[in-house]
Amino acid sequence: MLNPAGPAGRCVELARTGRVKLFVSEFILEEISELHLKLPARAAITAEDTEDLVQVVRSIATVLDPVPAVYIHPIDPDDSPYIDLAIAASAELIVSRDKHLLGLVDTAKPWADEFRTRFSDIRVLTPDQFLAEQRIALEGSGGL
Amino acid sequence: MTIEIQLNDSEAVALQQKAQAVGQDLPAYVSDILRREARRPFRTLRQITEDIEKQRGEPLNMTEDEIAEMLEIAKHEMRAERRLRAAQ
Repeated sequence: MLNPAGPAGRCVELARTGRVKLFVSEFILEEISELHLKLPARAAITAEDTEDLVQVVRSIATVLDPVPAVYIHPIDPDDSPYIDLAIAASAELIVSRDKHLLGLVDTAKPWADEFRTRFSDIRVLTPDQFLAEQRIALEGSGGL
Repeated sequence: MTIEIQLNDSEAVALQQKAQAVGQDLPAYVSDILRREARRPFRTLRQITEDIEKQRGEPLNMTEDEIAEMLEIAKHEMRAERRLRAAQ
């Protein structure tokens, strides 16, 4: 919503067109619903905008609820529900710019060793990295 | 039209509390929510973002990293407030 033409916006578009499967939880939808309250006024996002966004996300995503609490993020426990969702969904990817989520797959971060050992199937990519992978995959299949 | 809604205990309690806070019983409160929802048109993602750009009036002029940082700060403030609410 902040920059629909940017990488994150294009990732949402991939989900909307069914090219990738998006999972969310009620916890994440609640976070989306409340986030605008803390954004600066210049972002110009209203409660109605976020309510409508949540409706759109519900329409394009698979909503998992409840999501069992399996993992506690060692640096930012508040990010744990995002990992738990990926585990519950058997997802391959978390796409995020959050440095604590990206740190989980950074081999230079010893605090994430346990995560990498337990959940070696889950990768965390930035939107730009994810889009680059998608482009390569499409080029390889003749889709572009 | 009459509809029957199944709620779990925690959802029912939460809605009862919200209804009481605005001086309504539960059926009236839920009916009001549904009526408001029925009047509101469904907006596509494109329509939402176009409306936000109109509300904004001028480009945000922020890089993706700056946007990510702004969201990160907002997210932590929101979570701190939620923890505070939960503790009360």
